[in-house]
Amino acid sequence: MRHSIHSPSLISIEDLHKSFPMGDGRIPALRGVSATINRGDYVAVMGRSGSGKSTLMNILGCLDTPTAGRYALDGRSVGDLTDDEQAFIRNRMIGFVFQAFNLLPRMDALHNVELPLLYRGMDSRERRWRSMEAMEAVGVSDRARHRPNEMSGGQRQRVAIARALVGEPSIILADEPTGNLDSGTGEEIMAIFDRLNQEGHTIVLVTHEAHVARHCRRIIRLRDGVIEEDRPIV
Amino acid sequence: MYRNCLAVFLRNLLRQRGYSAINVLGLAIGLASCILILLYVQDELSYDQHHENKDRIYRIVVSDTAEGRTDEWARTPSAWGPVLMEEYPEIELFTRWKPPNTSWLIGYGEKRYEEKHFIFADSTVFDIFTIPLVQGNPETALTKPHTVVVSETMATMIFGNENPMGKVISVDEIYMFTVTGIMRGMPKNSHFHADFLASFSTLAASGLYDEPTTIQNSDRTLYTYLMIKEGYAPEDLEDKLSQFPVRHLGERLETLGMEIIPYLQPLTDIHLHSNLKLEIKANSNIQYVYIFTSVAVFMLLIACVNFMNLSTARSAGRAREVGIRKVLGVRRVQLAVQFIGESVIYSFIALAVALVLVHLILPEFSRFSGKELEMDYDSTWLMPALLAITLCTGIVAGGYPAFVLSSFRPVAVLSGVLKAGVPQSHFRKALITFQFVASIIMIVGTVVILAQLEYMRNKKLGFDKEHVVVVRLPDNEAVQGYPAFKDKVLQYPEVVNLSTTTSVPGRLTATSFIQPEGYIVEDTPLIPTIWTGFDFVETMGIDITSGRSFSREVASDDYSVLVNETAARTFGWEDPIGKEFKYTHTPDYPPMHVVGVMADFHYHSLHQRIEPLLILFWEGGNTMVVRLSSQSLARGLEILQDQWRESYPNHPAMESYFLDQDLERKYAAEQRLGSVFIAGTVLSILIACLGLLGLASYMAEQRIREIGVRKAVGATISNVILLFSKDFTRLILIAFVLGVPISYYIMQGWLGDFPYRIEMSWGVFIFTGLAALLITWLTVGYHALKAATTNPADALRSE
Repeated sequence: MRHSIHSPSLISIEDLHKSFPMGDGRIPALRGVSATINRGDYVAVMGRSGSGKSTLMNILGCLDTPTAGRYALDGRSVGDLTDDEQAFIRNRMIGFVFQAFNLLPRMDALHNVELPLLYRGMDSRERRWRSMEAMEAVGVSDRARHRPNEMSGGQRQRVAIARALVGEPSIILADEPTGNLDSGTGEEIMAIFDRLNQEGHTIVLVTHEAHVARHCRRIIRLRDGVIEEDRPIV
Repeated sequence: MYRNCLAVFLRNLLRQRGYSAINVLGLAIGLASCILILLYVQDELSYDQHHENKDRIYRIVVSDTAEGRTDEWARTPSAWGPVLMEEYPEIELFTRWKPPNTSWLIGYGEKRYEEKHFIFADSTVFDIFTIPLVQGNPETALTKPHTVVVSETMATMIFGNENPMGKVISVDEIYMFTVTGIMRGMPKNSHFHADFLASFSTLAASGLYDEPTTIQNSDRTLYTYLMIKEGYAPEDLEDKLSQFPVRHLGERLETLGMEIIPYLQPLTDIHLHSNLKLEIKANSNIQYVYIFTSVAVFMLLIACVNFMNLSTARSAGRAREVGIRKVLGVRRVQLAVQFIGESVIYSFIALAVALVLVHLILPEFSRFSGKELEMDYDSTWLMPALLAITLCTGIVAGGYPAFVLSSFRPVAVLSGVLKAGVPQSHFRKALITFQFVASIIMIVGTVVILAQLEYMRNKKLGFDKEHVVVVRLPDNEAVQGYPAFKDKVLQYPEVVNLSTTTSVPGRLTATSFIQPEGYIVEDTPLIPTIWTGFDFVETMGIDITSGRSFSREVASDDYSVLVNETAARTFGWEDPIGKEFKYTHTPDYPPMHVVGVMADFHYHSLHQRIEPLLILFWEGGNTMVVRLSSQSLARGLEILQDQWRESYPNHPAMESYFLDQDLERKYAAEQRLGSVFIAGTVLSILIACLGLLGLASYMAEQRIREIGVRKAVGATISNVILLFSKDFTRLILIAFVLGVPISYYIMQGWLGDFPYRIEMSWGVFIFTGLAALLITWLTVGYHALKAATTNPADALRSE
């Protein structure tokens, strides 16, 4: 169980806007989104295609910057950080899980998992030790020396979750984590997220599937770049 | 089908503009370099090819060995031609070619011209060589004494609109010649050049020269050319010729312990294969033709490698097209032909760009190569050569990509299993490594050549070569007028000192049989000797290590000798002062005594080791050396010219040159080689960089998702740049390990020809390695930075 010594609010966004250039003009993706996510939250961001949910996830993950508005992560404003400062935040505070797994094909599972630790400059022995722990936690330690193309979709996503976990981030962001998996494997992956949340991890996942969202304890529903609904799941 | 293939090609060409530009530009630079070097090499190989009988014409040259030393001479004694003709039936004709020792003053009416290309030749010259006459009869033009055939250019200059035939010109105001023919100007690519061909019989008729009747005369004043009868092998004649000197000079050769071997030089070999003593002019060297050709091939290969690399890297982009064509029944060979055809078209587009580049660069290239090169599209060789090279380039560059592309299996590519050219990545790396090895060899070559050149230019020669003017005294009258001239010019502070000599540093010295004390006649060596007046040592700034130089105060100095340190060492003299020399063949001449020892100095260029050298006293040398004040060089030269005009009104133009500039010319071949290497290095690196740029852009495209992932898990910009450069850096290191020993071996071989040379240090290789790394990082850096600063969200979005 992870215990926080900080304030319960981990993410605070206020009047977030994001637009993309298109021809001569700009297309708005987010139009004034405000929300707070606390430590230990388990949030599903839902919405139709084009509603702005992936854009919101990218901004929350410091992969992209808002056009306007305020974003504070763990009490620190991250909207105006330099590239390298953002890289530091991603490395230390955020773990990503993608729909397409995004494992590096030329590396085996162990090397993929230890990648975040590599960029922390951690000693290789400790890096390997902790990576194996993370892989054990998601049940793929026996695939450590296999390359992504030698594993099933479920195994690849477990490796991706291990990679997200290994750096002990403050928050795990998952973008359609079951989108490329069959329903049975998808349920296994969601069970892992459930367990991780019960252990104290803050998880935000983007999904458009109701049965996936039902694993969470809160739903934020976006429509046309604004929050249409923000409610707990009972 | 061909229209469809062409349409697809044009669409790809326009859609991938950057990639197409890199391919075309790389090939164009390679082709342009190749064409320029080809022009140079063709010019070198074309020397003396215009003579119709070139395959039967030979120059007879002589190798003589005495005292363990062999000298090879381009000139032969004057009687050899007629005597050989009489004794050997294989010889159809001979002609002798006697250049002036100095230049002649040609006069017609009031006009006067200094002329160096006034040659005496036997009347058979027109039968042997192809020298077309515009006017006059070649059969009779030079049969009589005092007749001359003039080149068209000189005829126009001297006679203007008058008909020159039958006109009389004066030579040195003494000898009169009647113009009996006008010849076309001799081509530049000829190992000899003449503006005036005068009848050989004039020499004897004017008392300029006695025609010897036996070969006992050993003068070396002229060149002898033979034309062998058809059907006779020159090797057989050469074998027989080896007995010729023994038969005629056997006794004397035995006495002198000498061996003389004549041999035949094919006319067309002289320019590139002959570097003998007393050549008509400095010839070129076949080694440089090989080196330049290698550089051209190297550069074209580097350009082809670029093409192969980029094409195979991008092959996956065309995998679907290949799959569909195969499904439709196109055979592999047809596909291969299509892709090779595309690269041939690329190659021809590159040729067009290359021709523009060549036309822009050619004037500058001609200047530094010292040739008048031109793109003569009407010549028989240029267009076929261009077409052949371009076609070969297209086939070589496109061969491997065509093999790769045509090998794709339709099921694999259409189901999307085949990914971007992964199987070829090792081959691509090997090609890049080859490019780097080539670049490293070129860089090391350039650095070593330039360092050696710098070393030769700056090495202390043992005398002060700066501010010395060398002036030719054209005749005896000028030599006799020298003391008065000296007195006049020394009144000016701009003239520091002057002397006369028979030779100056960098020019040929005579060798004499002078018997040093302690030697018997039979052991007397041939010693390089020059004769100078007073003040030579002082004018040249040569150090005297013991004794003194020639002095006006000592009457016996007419029979004094100065020796250099090497001579003293060679003769085993610890204290050379007072030692005696005697002329071996002139026993009546009084013995000469050593009065001073000179510190060794480089009398020849640094291509030759310092040899023993004697300086004997004689004021009749036909060359004047003048040291001017470094403060007022231009004024000093002006004074010399003014005083010259006043002292020698018959020779109004003072023929002079600066000694340091003349010595500099001794290194012209190395300078030219250095320039070719600099240009070759810059261009090969440029081509390689173009390839790297294309590959880096391709890699950035291919790895965009990977970079996105790495950035998502915390990689910084510098982490990504490092990742990007790492692959190329590894290849450079491999290329470095391969390139260093190869370049060391090649350049060590080149340096081996120099008796005075630099030592190749590790610094050269470290510099080369760092330069290669820096160039690579800068080239790859742009794309690495671009990739590193890409928004990871964009990268991860691009599925």
